[in-house]
Amino acid sequence: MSRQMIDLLLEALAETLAMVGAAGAVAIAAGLPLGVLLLISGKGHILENRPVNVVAGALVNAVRSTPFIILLVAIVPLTRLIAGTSIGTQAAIVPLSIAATPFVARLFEAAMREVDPGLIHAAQAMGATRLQIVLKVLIPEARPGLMAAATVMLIGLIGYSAMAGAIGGGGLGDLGVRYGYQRFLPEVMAAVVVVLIVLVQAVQSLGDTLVRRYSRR
Amino acid sequence: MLELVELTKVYPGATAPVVALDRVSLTVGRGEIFGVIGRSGAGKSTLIRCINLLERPTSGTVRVDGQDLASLDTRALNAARRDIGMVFQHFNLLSSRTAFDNVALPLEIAGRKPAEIAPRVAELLELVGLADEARRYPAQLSGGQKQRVGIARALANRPKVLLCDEATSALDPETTIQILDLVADINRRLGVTVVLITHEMNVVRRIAGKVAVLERGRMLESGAVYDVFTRPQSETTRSFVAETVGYSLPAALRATASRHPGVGAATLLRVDLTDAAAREPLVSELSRRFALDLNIVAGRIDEIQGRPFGSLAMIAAGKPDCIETAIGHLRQRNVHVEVLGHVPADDRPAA
Ligand SMILES: Nc1ncnc2c1ncn2[C@@H]1O[C@H](COP(=O)(O)OP(=O)(O)O)[C@@H](O)[C@H]1O
Ligand SMILES: [Mg+2]
Repeated sequence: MSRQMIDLLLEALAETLAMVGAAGAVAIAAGLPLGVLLLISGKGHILENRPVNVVAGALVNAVRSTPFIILLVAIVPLTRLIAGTSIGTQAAIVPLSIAATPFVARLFEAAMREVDPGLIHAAQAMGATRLQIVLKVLIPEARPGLMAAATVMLIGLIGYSAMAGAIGGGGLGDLGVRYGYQRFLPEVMAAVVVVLIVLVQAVQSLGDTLVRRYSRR
Repeated sequence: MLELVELTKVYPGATAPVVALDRVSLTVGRGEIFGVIGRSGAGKSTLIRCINLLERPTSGTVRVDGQDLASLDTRALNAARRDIGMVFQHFNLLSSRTAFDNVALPLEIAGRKPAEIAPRVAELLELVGLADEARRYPAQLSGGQKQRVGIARALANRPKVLLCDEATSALDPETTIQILDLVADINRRLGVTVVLITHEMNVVRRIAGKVAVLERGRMLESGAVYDVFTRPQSETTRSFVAETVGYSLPAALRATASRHPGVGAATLLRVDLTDAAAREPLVSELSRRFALDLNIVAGRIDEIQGRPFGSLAMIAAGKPDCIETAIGHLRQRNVHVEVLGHVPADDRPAA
Protein backbone atom coordinates (compact mmCIF):
# COMPACT_ATOMS: atom_id res chain seq x y z
CA MET A 1 0.00 0.00 0.00
CA SER A 2 1.34 3.40 -0.93
CA ARG A 3 2.43 6.05 1.50
CA GLN A 4 -0.37 8.21 0.18
CA MET A 5 -2.92 5.50 0.89
CA ILE A 6 -1.69 5.16 4.47
CA ASP A 7 -2.01 8.90 4.96
CA LEU A 8 -5.56 8.75 3.63
CA LEU A 9 -6.34 5.89 5.98
CA LEU A 10 -4.93 7.73 9.00
CA GLU A 11 -6.82 10.85 8.09
CA ALA A 12 -10.05 8.85 7.76
CA LEU A 13 -9.38 7.16 11.10
CA ALA A 14 -8.93 10.54 12.74
CA GLU A 15 -12.21 11.73 11.25
CA THR A 16 -14.03 8.64 12.48
CA LEU A 17 -12.57 9.06 15.94
CA ALA A 18 -13.60 12.70 15.96
CA MET A 19 -17.17 11.90 14.88
CA VAL A 20 -17.58 8.97 17.26
CA GLY A 21 -15.84 10.80 20.09
CA ALA A 22 -17.90 13.96 19.78
CA ALA A 23 -21.23 12.22 19.14
CA GLY A 24 -20.46 9.72 21.92
CA ALA A 25 -19.73 12.51 24.36
CA VAL A 26 -22.97 14.29 23.45
CA ALA A 27 -24.94 11.04 23.69
CA ILE A 28 -23.54 10.25 27.13
CA ALA A 29 -24.10 13.78 28.39
CA ALA A 30 -27.67 13.90 27.10
CA GLY A 31 -28.49 10.20 27.43
CA LEU A 32 -27.69 9.94 31.12
CA PRO A 33 -30.24 12.53 32.27
CA LEU A 34 -32.72 11.16 29.76
CA GLY A 35 -32.15 7.61 31.02
CA VAL A 36 -32.55 8.80 34.61
CA LEU A 37 -35.78 10.56 33.66
CA LEU A 38 -37.14 7.48 31.90
CA LEU A 39 -36.42 5.41 34.98
CA ILE A 40 -37.46 7.65 37.86
CA SER A 41 -40.65 8.92 36.21
CA GLY A 42 -41.77 5.30 35.92
CA LYS A 43 -44.40 3.65 38.07
CA GLY A 44 -43.53 3.45 41.73
CA HIS A 45 -40.23 5.27 41.30
CA ILE A 46 -38.95 8.37 43.03
CA LEU A 47 -40.36 10.88 40.54
CA GLU A 48 -43.38 8.96 39.30
CA ASN A 49 -45.05 11.01 36.59
CA ARG A 50 -47.02 9.19 33.95
CA PRO A 51 -47.31 11.98 31.34
CA VAL A 52 -43.57 12.70 31.47
CA ASN A 53 -42.76 9.01 31.33
CA VAL A 54 -45.06 8.36 28.38
CA VAL A 55 -43.89 11.39 26.36
CA ALA A 56 -40.20 10.75 27.01
CA GLY A 57 -40.64 7.07 26.20
CA ALA A 58 -42.52 7.79 22.98
CA LEU A 59 -39.90 10.30 21.84
CA VAL A 60 -37.10 7.88 22.50
CA ASN A 61 -38.90 5.10 20.68
CA ALA A 62 -39.69 7.34 17.70
CA VAL A 63 -36.05 8.26 17.15
CA ARG A 64 -34.90 4.70 17.74
CA SER A 65 -37.31 3.28 15.19
CA THR A 66 -36.27 5.74 12.46
CA PRO A 67 -33.64 4.13 10.22
CA PHE A 68 -30.40 6.06 10.56
CA ILE A 69 -30.10 6.75 6.86
CA ILE A 70 -33.54 8.42 6.89
CA LEU A 71 -32.78 10.36 10.06
CA LEU A 72 -29.60 11.59 8.39
CA VAL A 73 -31.55 13.16 5.52
CA ALA A 74 -34.63 14.18 7.48
CA ILE A 75 -32.78 16.41 9.93
CA VAL A 76 -30.60 18.22 7.38
CA PRO A 77 -32.19 21.60 8.23
CA LEU A 78 -31.46 21.07 11.90
CA THR A 79 -27.95 19.97 11.10
CA ARG A 80 -27.41 23.12 9.06
CA LEU A 81 -28.76 25.21 11.94
CA ILE A 82 -26.42 23.65 14.48
CA ALA A 83 -23.29 22.96 12.47
CA GLY A 84 -23.67 25.77 9.92
CA THR A 85 -23.35 23.22 7.12
CA SER A 86 -24.91 19.91 6.22
CA ILE A 87 -21.80 18.24 4.88
CA GLY A 88 -18.53 17.25 6.44
CA THR A 89 -17.36 15.57 9.60
CA GLN A 90 -18.64 18.30 11.87
CA ALA A 91 -22.11 18.15 10.33
CA ALA A 92 -22.23 14.36 10.74
CA ILE A 93 -21.85 14.74 14.49
CA VAL A 94 -25.39 16.16 14.70
CA PRO A 95 -27.36 13.17 13.34
CA LEU A 96 -24.97 10.74 15.03
CA SER A 97 -25.62 12.39 18.41
CA ILE A 98 -29.35 12.43 17.82
CA ALA A 99 -29.42 8.76 16.92
CA ALA A 100 -27.13 7.66 19.74
CA THR A 101 -28.74 9.62 22.57
CA PRO A 102 -32.09 7.79 22.84
CA PHE A 103 -30.34 4.49 22.17
CA VAL A 104 -27.92 4.90 25.04
CA ALA A 105 -30.62 6.47 27.25
CA ARG A 106 -32.57 3.19 27.09
CA LEU A 107 -29.44 1.20 27.88
CA PHE A 108 -28.64 3.53 30.79
CA GLU A 109 -32.21 3.20 32.05
CA ALA A 110 -31.93 -0.59 31.97
CA ALA A 111 -28.58 -0.49 33.79
CA MET A 112 -29.93 1.73 36.57
CA ARG A 113 -33.05 -0.40 36.88
CA GLU A 114 -30.77 -3.18 38.09
CA VAL A 115 -29.87 -1.20 41.20
CA ASP A 116 -31.41 -2.89 44.26
CA PRO A 117 -34.51 -0.88 45.29
CA GLY A 118 -33.45 -1.50 48.89
CA LEU A 119 -30.58 0.94 48.35
CA ILE A 120 -33.06 3.64 47.33
CA HIS A 121 -35.15 2.91 50.42
CA ALA A 122 -32.03 3.15 52.55
CA ALA A 123 -31.16 6.54 51.05
CA GLN A 124 -34.73 7.76 51.51
CA ALA A 125 -34.61 6.65 55.13
CA MET A 126 -31.47 8.80 55.51
CA GLY A 127 -33.41 11.80 54.29
CA ALA A 128 -31.84 11.93 50.82
CA THR A 129 -33.38 14.22 48.21
CA ARG A 130 -34.23 12.77 44.81
CA LEU A 131 -31.20 14.43 43.27
CA GLN A 132 -28.99 12.90 45.97
CA ILE A 133 -30.51 9.50 45.31
CA VAL A 134 -29.68 9.81 41.61
CA LEU A 135 -26.16 11.16 42.13
CA LYS A 136 -25.09 9.14 45.16
CA VAL A 137 -26.95 5.88 44.69
CA LEU A 138 -28.35 5.20 41.23
CA ILE A 139 -25.45 6.37 39.09
CA PRO A 140 -22.53 5.12 41.22
CA GLU A 141 -24.19 1.75 41.87
CA ALA A 142 -25.00 1.29 38.18
CA ARG A 143 -21.56 2.45 37.05
CA PRO A 144 -20.34 -0.87 35.63
CA GLY A 145 -23.62 -1.27 33.75
CA LEU A 146 -23.47 2.32 32.53
CA MET A 147 -19.96 1.74 31.21
CA ALA A 148 -21.02 -1.42 29.42
CA ALA A 149 -23.92 0.54 27.90
CA ALA A 150 -21.61 3.34 26.74
CA THR A 151 -19.32 0.75 25.16
CA VAL A 152 -22.19 -0.78 23.20
CA MET A 153 -23.26 2.69 22.09
CA LEU A 154 -19.74 3.70 20.96
CA ILE A 155 -19.40 0.56 18.89
CA GLY A 156 -22.78 1.25 17.32
CA LEU A 157 -21.61 4.77 16.54
CA ILE A 158 -18.54 3.46 14.72
CA GLY A 159 -20.89 1.59 12.38
CA TYR A 160 -23.26 4.55 11.97
CA SER A 161 -20.38 6.94 11.34
CA ALA A 162 -19.58 4.93 8.21
CA MET A 163 -23.06 5.68 6.93
CA ALA A 164 -22.65 9.35 7.71
CA GLY A 165 -20.13 9.29 4.89
CA ALA A 166 -23.21 9.45 2.66
CA ILE A 167 -23.55 13.15 3.43
CA GLY A 168 -19.87 13.75 2.89
CA GLY A 169 -19.08 13.05 6.49
CA GLY A 170 -15.66 11.62 5.77
CA GLY A 171 -14.17 8.94 7.98
CA LEU A 172 -13.31 5.30 7.38
CA GLY A 173 -16.66 4.32 5.91
CA ASP A 174 -16.52 7.14 3.41
CA LEU A 175 -12.97 6.17 2.43
CA GLY A 176 -13.95 2.56 1.96
CA VAL A 177 -16.89 3.47 -0.27
CA ARG A 178 -15.11 6.10 -2.37
CA TYR A 179 -11.84 4.25 -2.99
CA GLY A 180 -12.76 0.67 -2.43
CA TYR A 181 -16.12 0.64 -4.21
CA GLN A 182 -16.30 3.58 -6.62
CA ARG A 183 -12.63 3.45 -7.72
CA PHE A 184 -12.53 -0.29 -7.31
CA LEU A 185 -9.51 -0.58 -5.03
CA PRO A 186 -10.36 -3.71 -3.00
CA GLU A 187 -7.18 -3.48 -0.92
CA VAL A 188 -8.33 -0.09 0.41
CA MET A 189 -11.69 -1.57 1.29
CA ALA A 190 -9.93 -4.46 3.06
CA ALA A 191 -7.65 -2.08 4.94
CA VAL A 192 -10.64 -0.02 6.05
CA VAL A 193 -12.41 -3.13 7.34
CA VAL A 194 -9.29 -4.26 9.22
CA VAL A 195 -8.90 -0.84 10.87
CA LEU A 196 -12.58 -0.87 11.85
CA ILE A 197 -12.25 -4.35 13.36
CA VAL A 198 -9.23 -3.27 15.37
CA LEU A 199 -11.03 -0.09 16.47
CA VAL A 200 -14.12 -1.97 17.64
CA GLN A 201 -11.96 -4.51 19.48
CA ALA A 202 -10.04 -1.73 21.18
CA VAL A 203 -13.19 0.05 22.33
CA GLN A 204 -14.69 -3.21 23.58
CA SER A 205 -11.56 -4.14 25.53
CA LEU A 206 -11.32 -0.71 27.06
CA GLY A 207 -14.98 -0.90 28.02
CA ASP A 208 -14.59 -4.36 29.53
CA THR A 209 -11.57 -3.26 31.54
CA LEU A 210 -13.45 -0.30 32.98
CA VAL A 211 -16.50 -2.41 33.79
CA ARG A 212 -14.32 -4.92 35.61
CA ARG A 213 -12.44 -2.20 37.42
CA TYR A 214 -15.64 -0.72 38.85
CA SER A 215 -17.48 -3.94 39.64
CA ARG A 216 -17.40 -4.46 43.37
CA ARG A 217 -20.07 -7.07 43.75
CA MET B 1 -40.78 9.11 72.06
CA LEU B 2 -42.73 7.26 69.45
CA GLU B 3 -46.47 7.13 69.20
CA LEU B 4 -48.61 5.30 66.69
CA VAL B 5 -52.31 6.05 66.85
CA GLU B 6 -54.88 3.95 65.00
CA LEU B 7 -52.38 3.33 62.23
CA THR B 8 -53.99 1.75 59.17
CA LYS B 9 -52.36 0.88 55.88
CA VAL B 10 -54.25 -0.51 52.92
CA TYR B 11 -52.36 -1.52 49.77
CA PRO B 12 -54.26 -1.53 46.48
CA GLY B 13 -53.28 -5.17 45.86
CA ALA B 14 -53.52 -7.06 42.58
CA THR B 15 -57.09 -8.31 42.99
CA ALA B 16 -58.50 -7.00 46.28
CA PRO B 17 -57.14 -4.33 48.64
CA VAL B 18 -54.72 -5.68 51.25
CA VAL B 19 -55.15 -4.38 54.78
CA ALA B 20 -51.56 -4.57 55.96
CA LEU B 21 -52.17 -2.64 59.19
CA ASP B 22 -55.50 -2.40 60.95
CA ARG B 23 -55.77 0.37 63.55
CA VAL B 24 -52.51 -0.33 65.32
CA SER B 25 -51.75 1.87 68.30
CA LEU B 26 -48.65 1.71 70.39
CA THR B 27 -46.32 3.91 72.37
CA VAL B 28 -42.59 3.47 72.70
CA GLY B 29 -40.86 5.25 75.56
CA ARG B 30 -37.53 7.05 75.27
CA GLY B 31 -34.58 4.70 75.49
CA GLU B 32 -36.72 1.57 75.28
CA ILE B 33 -36.06 -1.46 73.11
CA PHE B 34 -39.43 -2.29 71.67
CA GLY B 35 -39.93 -5.52 69.76
CA VAL B 36 -42.67 -6.20 67.26
CA ILE B 37 -43.07 -9.89 66.56
CA GLY B 38 -45.23 -11.55 63.95
CA ARG B 39 -45.23 -14.19 61.26
CA SER B 40 -44.35 -13.40 57.67
CA GLY B 41 -46.95 -11.13 56.10
CA ALA B 42 -48.23 -9.90 59.47
CA GLY B 43 -47.50 -6.30 58.49
CA LYS B 44 -44.27 -5.79 60.42
CA SER B 45 -42.28 -4.18 57.63
CA THR B 46 -45.22 -1.99 56.75
CA LEU B 47 -45.42 -0.89 60.38
CA ILE B 48 -41.76 0.03 60.66
CA ARG B 49 -41.78 1.74 57.25
CA CYS B 50 -44.73 3.86 58.34
CA ILE B 51 -42.64 5.20 61.22
CA ASN B 52 -40.22 7.04 58.92
CA LEU B 53 -42.87 7.44 56.24
CA LEU B 54 -41.16 5.26 53.66
CA GLU B 55 -44.76 4.09 53.47
CA ARG B 56 -47.60 6.59 53.83
CA PRO B 57 -50.24 5.38 56.30
CA THR B 58 -53.76 5.25 54.87
CA SER B 59 -55.03 6.71 58.14
CA GLY B 60 -53.84 7.26 61.66
CA THR B 61 -50.89 9.23 62.94
CA VAL B 62 -47.24 8.64 63.65
CA ARG B 63 -45.54 10.96 66.08
CA VAL B 64 -41.81 10.83 66.59
CA ASP B 65 -40.68 12.92 69.53
CA GLY B 66 -44.02 14.71 69.42
CA GLN B 67 -43.75 15.53 65.72
CA ASP B 68 -46.37 14.33 63.24
CA LEU B 69 -44.23 13.37 60.26
CA ALA B 70 -47.12 13.29 57.78
CA SER B 71 -47.68 17.01 58.31
CA LEU B 72 -44.16 17.93 57.18
CA ASP B 73 -43.15 19.14 53.72
CA THR B 74 -40.44 17.24 51.84
CA ARG B 75 -37.57 19.29 53.24
CA ALA B 76 -38.71 19.01 56.82
CA LEU B 77 -39.45 15.31 56.37
CA ASN B 78 -35.93 14.70 55.09
CA ALA B 79 -34.57 16.55 58.10
CA ALA B 80 -36.79 14.53 60.45
CA ARG B 81 -35.64 11.28 58.84
CA ARG B 82 -32.07 12.06 59.85
CA ASP B 83 -33.22 11.62 63.43
CA ILE B 84 -34.41 8.10 62.63
CA GLY B 85 -31.78 5.52 61.73
CA MET B 86 -32.79 2.36 59.91
CA VAL B 87 -31.17 -1.05 59.69
CA PHE B 88 -32.28 -3.56 57.07
CA GLN B 89 -32.50 -7.33 56.82
CA HIS B 90 -30.38 -7.41 53.67
CA PHE B 91 -28.08 -4.62 54.89
CA ASN B 92 -28.70 -2.44 51.82
CA LEU B 93 -25.11 -1.24 51.62
CA LEU B 94 -23.84 0.44 48.48
CA SER B 95 -21.62 -2.09 46.74
CA SER B 96 -19.64 0.70 45.09
CA ARG B 97 -18.58 2.19 48.40
CA THR B 98 -16.18 0.92 51.06
CA ALA B 99 -17.37 0.33 54.61
CA PHE B 100 -16.00 3.78 55.43
CA ASP B 101 -17.81 5.48 52.57
CA ASN B 102 -21.05 3.65 53.31
CA VAL B 103 -21.01 5.02 56.84
CA ALA B 104 -20.14 8.45 55.41
CA LEU B 105 -23.17 8.45 53.09
CA PRO B 106 -25.82 9.71 55.55
CA LEU B 107 -23.37 12.42 56.65
CA GLU B 108 -22.83 13.50 53.03
CA ILE B 109 -26.58 13.52 52.52
CA ALA B 110 -26.97 15.70 55.60
CA GLY B 111 -24.49 18.12 54.01
CA ARG B 112 -21.65 17.61 56.48
CA LYS B 113 -18.17 18.73 55.45
CA PRO B 114 -15.53 16.12 54.64
CA ALA B 115 -13.40 17.38 57.53
CA GLU B 116 -16.27 16.58 59.89
CA ILE B 117 -17.18 13.32 58.22
CA ALA B 118 -13.85 11.48 58.49
CA PRO B 119 -13.46 11.57 62.28
CA ARG B 120 -17.15 10.78 62.81
CA VAL B 121 -16.97 7.73 60.53
CA ALA B 122 -13.82 6.50 62.26
CA GLU B 123 -15.58 6.84 65.61
CA LEU B 124 -18.62 4.91 64.35
CA LEU B 125 -16.55 2.09 62.88
CA GLU B 126 -14.75 1.88 66.19
CA LEU B 127 -18.10 1.68 68.00
CA VAL B 128 -19.23 -1.31 65.94
CA GLY B 129 -15.82 -2.97 66.05
CA LEU B 130 -14.91 -2.54 62.41
CA ALA B 131 -12.06 -0.04 62.57
CA ASP B 132 -9.80 -2.45 60.67
CA GLU B 133 -12.24 -3.07 57.83
CA ALA B 134 -12.80 0.56 56.84
CA ARG B 135 -11.29 0.15 53.37
CA ARG B 136 -13.13 -3.03 52.47
CA TYR B 137 -16.06 -3.22 50.10
CA PRO B 138 -19.28 -4.92 51.22
CA ALA B 139 -18.52 -7.89 48.95
CA GLN B 140 -15.40 -8.48 51.07
CA LEU B 141 -17.27 -8.51 54.39
CA SER B 142 -19.16 -11.27 56.21
CA GLY B 143 -22.90 -10.93 56.91
CA GLY B 144 -22.26 -9.89 60.50
CA GLN B 145 -19.68 -7.31 59.42
CA LYS B 146 -22.08 -5.94 56.81
CA GLN B 147 -24.75 -5.50 59.44
CA ARG B 148 -22.25 -3.73 61.68
CA VAL B 149 -21.62 -1.29 58.84
CA GLY B 150 -25.40 -0.97 58.49
CA ILE B 151 -25.71 -0.14 62.18
CA ALA B 152 -22.83 2.35 62.09
CA ARG B 153 -24.44 4.00 59.07
CA ALA B 154 -27.82 4.18 60.82
CA LEU B 155 -26.21 5.89 63.81
CA ALA B 156 -24.15 8.38 61.80
CA ASN B 157 -26.44 11.38 62.25
CA ARG B 158 -26.95 10.64 65.96
CA PRO B 159 -30.59 9.59 65.59
CA LYS B 160 -33.01 9.45 68.50
CA VAL B 161 -34.67 6.34 67.13
CA LEU B 162 -33.17 3.24 65.55
CA LEU B 163 -35.48 1.10 63.43
CA CYS B 164 -34.40 -2.48 62.79
CA ASP B 165 -36.33 -4.38 60.12
CA GLU B 166 -35.45 -8.05 60.64
CA ALA B 167 -31.88 -6.91 61.21
CA THR B 168 -30.68 -10.39 62.14
CA SER B 169 -32.87 -12.58 59.94
CA ALA B 170 -30.17 -13.05 57.31
CA LEU B 171 -27.55 -14.02 59.89
CA ASP B 172 -26.57 -17.31 61.50
CA PRO B 173 -27.54 -17.84 65.17
CA GLU B 174 -24.14 -16.95 66.57
CA THR B 175 -23.82 -13.76 64.55
CA THR B 176 -27.42 -12.92 65.45
CA ILE B 177 -26.49 -12.92 69.11
CA GLN B 178 -23.45 -10.71 68.49
CA ILE B 179 -25.49 -8.19 66.54
CA LEU B 180 -28.31 -8.18 69.12
CA ASP B 181 -25.81 -7.61 71.90
CA LEU B 182 -24.30 -4.77 69.90
CA VAL B 183 -27.73 -3.16 69.51
CA ALA B 184 -28.41 -3.58 73.24
CA ASP B 185 -25.01 -2.09 74.03
CA ILE B 186 -25.65 0.88 71.76
CA ASN B 187 -29.06 1.36 73.34
CA ARG B 188 -27.45 1.51 76.76
CA ARG B 189 -24.52 3.70 75.81
CA LEU B 190 -26.24 6.16 73.51
CA GLY B 191 -29.74 6.02 74.96
CA VAL B 192 -31.20 5.60 71.50
CA THR B 193 -34.75 4.25 71.34
CA VAL B 194 -34.88 1.00 69.38
CA VAL B 195 -37.80 -0.51 67.50
CA LEU B 196 -37.02 -3.93 66.16
CA ILE B 197 -39.27 -6.18 64.21
CA THR B 198 -38.71 -9.88 63.86
CA HIS B 199 -40.35 -13.23 63.40
CA GLU B 200 -38.02 -14.79 65.94
CA MET B 201 -38.94 -15.11 69.57
CA ASN B 202 -35.27 -15.35 70.53
CA VAL B 203 -34.57 -11.88 69.20
CA VAL B 204 -37.27 -10.29 71.31
CA ARG B 205 -36.41 -12.41 74.31
CA ARG B 206 -32.77 -11.44 74.23
CA ILE B 207 -32.91 -7.68 74.09
CA ALA B 208 -36.43 -6.21 74.03
CA GLY B 209 -38.07 -4.76 77.13
CA LYS B 210 -41.49 -4.45 75.56
CA VAL B 211 -43.16 -6.33 72.79
CA ALA B 212 -46.19 -6.13 70.55
CA VAL B 213 -47.54 -9.19 68.77
CA LEU B 214 -48.83 -8.55 65.28
CA GLU B 215 -50.99 -10.81 63.17
CA ARG B 216 -52.71 -9.99 59.90
CA GLY B 217 -52.26 -6.30 60.51
CA ARG B 218 -53.79 -6.39 63.98
CA MET B 219 -51.98 -5.93 67.24
CA LEU B 220 -52.98 -8.90 69.37
CA GLU B 221 -51.31 -7.88 72.59
CA SER B 222 -48.48 -5.79 73.89
CA GLY B 223 -46.66 -5.06 77.09
CA ALA B 224 -43.53 -5.98 78.97
CA VAL B 225 -41.86 -8.95 77.29
CA TYR B 226 -41.96 -11.09 80.41
CA ASP B 227 -45.64 -10.46 81.01
CA VAL B 228 -46.70 -11.02 77.42
CA PHE B 229 -44.83 -14.27 77.10
CA THR B 230 -45.66 -15.68 80.51
CA ARG B 231 -49.35 -14.84 80.19
CA PRO B 232 -50.04 -15.10 76.48
CA GLN B 233 -53.56 -14.05 75.52
CA SER B 234 -53.56 -15.30 71.95
CA GLU B 235 -52.81 -18.51 70.10
CA THR B 236 -50.15 -16.72 68.05
CA THR B 237 -48.32 -15.55 71.15
CA ARG B 238 -48.54 -19.04 72.63
CA SER B 239 -47.00 -20.46 69.47
CA PHE B 240 -44.11 -18.02 69.71
CA VAL B 241 -43.59 -19.00 73.33
CA ALA B 242 -43.62 -22.66 72.35
CA GLU B 243 -40.73 -21.94 69.99
CA THR B 244 -38.37 -21.21 72.86
CA VAL B 245 -39.72 -23.14 75.79
CA GLY B 246 -41.73 -25.64 73.81
CA TYR B 247 -41.21 -29.36 74.19
CA SER B 248 -43.21 -32.31 73.08
CA LEU B 249 -44.57 -34.97 75.36
CA PRO B 250 -43.95 -38.60 74.53
CA ALA B 251 -46.63 -39.33 71.95
CA ALA B 252 -48.00 -42.48 73.63
CA LEU B 253 -48.37 -40.73 76.96
CA ARG B 254 -50.09 -37.79 75.37
CA ALA B 255 -52.52 -40.09 73.54
CA THR B 256 -53.37 -42.02 76.69
CA ALA B 257 -53.95 -38.90 78.73
CA SER B 258 -56.18 -37.36 76.10
CA ARG B 259 -58.32 -40.53 76.10
CA HIS B 260 -58.87 -40.10 79.86
CA PRO B 261 -59.64 -36.48 80.61
CA GLY B 262 -59.73 -35.11 84.12
CA VAL B 263 -57.95 -36.04 87.30
CA GLY B 264 -57.20 -39.63 88.21
CA ALA B 265 -54.78 -41.53 90.44
CA ALA B 266 -51.96 -40.66 88.02
CA THR B 267 -52.61 -37.29 86.46
CA LEU B 268 -50.62 -35.66 83.70
CA LEU B 269 -50.14 -31.98 84.47
CA ARG B 270 -48.46 -29.12 82.70
CA VAL B 271 -47.18 -26.49 85.08
CA ASP B 272 -45.95 -23.17 83.73
CA LEU B 273 -42.99 -21.86 85.60
CA THR B 274 -42.70 -18.15 86.02
CA ASP B 275 -40.88 -16.12 88.63
CA ALA B 276 -42.69 -17.34 91.72
CA ALA B 277 -42.99 -20.97 90.79
CA ALA B 278 -39.48 -21.39 89.48
CA ARG B 279 -37.79 -19.90 92.53
CA GLU B 280 -39.43 -22.22 94.97
CA PRO B 281 -38.88 -25.88 95.54
CA LEU B 282 -42.21 -26.58 93.94
CA VAL B 283 -41.86 -30.27 93.28
CA SER B 284 -40.69 -31.27 96.73
CA GLU B 285 -43.28 -29.03 98.34
CA LEU B 286 -46.15 -30.64 96.43
CA SER B 287 -44.77 -34.02 97.14
CA ARG B 288 -44.52 -33.40 100.86
CA ARG B 289 -47.66 -31.41 101.49
CA PHE B 290 -50.05 -33.44 99.40
CA ALA B 291 -48.42 -36.86 99.64
CA LEU B 292 -47.87 -37.10 95.88
CA ASP B 293 -45.31 -38.90 93.81
CA LEU B 294 -44.20 -36.53 91.08
CA ASN B 295 -42.55 -37.84 87.98
CA ILE B 296 -41.30 -35.18 85.58
CA VAL B 297 -41.75 -36.43 82.02
CA ALA B 298 -40.76 -33.39 79.97
CA GLY B 299 -39.90 -29.76 80.48
CA ARG B 300 -37.83 -26.79 79.67
CA ILE B 301 -36.78 -23.77 81.66
CA ASP B 302 -35.28 -20.68 80.15
CA GLU B 303 -34.89 -17.01 80.91
CA ILE B 304 -36.39 -13.79 79.72
CA GLN B 305 -34.35 -10.80 80.81
CA GLY B 306 -32.79 -12.82 83.56
CA ARG B 307 -36.13 -14.04 84.91
CA PRO B 308 -36.95 -17.73 84.83
CA PHE B 309 -39.56 -18.84 82.43
CA GLY B 310 -40.59 -22.31 81.36
CA SER B 311 -42.90 -25.23 81.76
CA LEU B 312 -42.82 -28.76 83.15
CA ALA B 313 -44.96 -31.76 82.37
CA MET B 314 -45.27 -34.23 85.20
CA ILE B 315 -47.32 -37.17 86.31
CA ALA B 316 -48.71 -36.64 89.78
CA ALA B 317 -49.59 -39.94 91.45
CA GLY B 318 -51.61 -40.05 94.65
CA LYS B 319 -55.16 -39.71 95.89
CA PRO B 320 -57.27 -37.90 93.27
CA ASP B 321 -58.64 -35.44 95.82
CA CYS B 322 -55.12 -34.70 97.03
CA ILE B 323 -54.18 -33.97 93.43
CA GLU B 324 -57.18 -31.65 93.10
CA THR B 325 -56.13 -29.80 96.25
CA ALA B 326 -52.58 -29.52 95.02
CA ILE B 327 -53.79 -28.00 91.73
CA GLY B 328 -55.98 -25.56 93.66
CA HIS B 329 -53.00 -24.64 95.80
CA LEU B 330 -50.84 -23.91 92.76
CA ARG B 331 -53.53 -21.89 91.05
CA GLN B 332 -54.06 -19.86 94.19
CA ARG B 333 -50.42 -18.90 93.97
CA ASN B 334 -50.88 -17.81 90.37
CA VAL B 335 -49.11 -20.77 88.89
CA HIS B 336 -50.70 -21.80 85.63
CA VAL B 337 -51.60 -25.48 85.71
CA GLU B 338 -53.20 -27.47 82.94
CA VAL B 339 -54.67 -30.92 83.46
CA LEU B 340 -53.86 -32.91 80.35
CA GLY B 341 -55.71 -36.05 81.51
CA HIS B 342 -54.96 -39.06 83.63
CA VAL B 343 -53.28 -42.33 83.04
CA PRO B 344 -55.16 -45.41 84.37
CA ALA B 345 -52.92 -48.09 85.85
CA ASP B 346 -53.85 -50.67 83.19
CA ASP B 347 -53.27 -48.17 80.38
CA ARG B 348 -49.93 -46.79 81.45
CA PRO B 349 -47.46 -46.88 78.61
CA ALA B 350 -44.10 -48.30 79.44
CA ALA B 351 -41.95 -45.33 80.40
N1 LIG C 1 -46.14 -2.61 48.25
C1 LIG C 1 -47.11 -3.49 48.53
N2 LIG C 1 -48.18 -3.64 47.71
C2 LIG C 1 -49.16 -4.53 47.99
N3 LIG C 1 -49.18 -5.31 49.07
C3 LIG C 1 -48.15 -5.22 49.92
C4 LIG C 1 -47.06 -4.32 49.70
N4 LIG C 1 -46.18 -4.45 50.72
C5 LIG C 1 -46.69 -5.39 51.54
N5 LIG C 1 -47.87 -5.85 51.08
C6 LIG C 1 -48.74 -6.86 51.72
O1 LIG C 1 -49.03 -6.41 53.02
C7 LIG C 1 -48.97 -7.47 53.95
C8 LIG C 1 -47.94 -7.16 55.01
O2 LIG C 1 -46.65 -7.16 54.44
P1 LIG C 1 -45.33 -6.82 55.26
O3 LIG C 1 -45.54 -5.57 56.01
O4 LIG C 1 -44.19 -6.88 54.34
O5 LIG C 1 -45.30 -8.05 56.28
P2 LIG C 1 -44.09 -8.67 57.12
O6 LIG C 1 -42.96 -7.71 57.11
O7 LIG C 1 -44.68 -8.86 58.48
O8 LIG C 1 -43.75 -9.97 56.49
C9 LIG C 1 -48.67 -8.72 53.14
O9 LIG C 1 -49.89 -9.36 52.87
C10 LIG C 1 -48.04 -8.18 51.90
O10 LIG C 1 -48.31 -9.04 50.82
MG1 LIG D 1 -40.93 -7.95 56.45
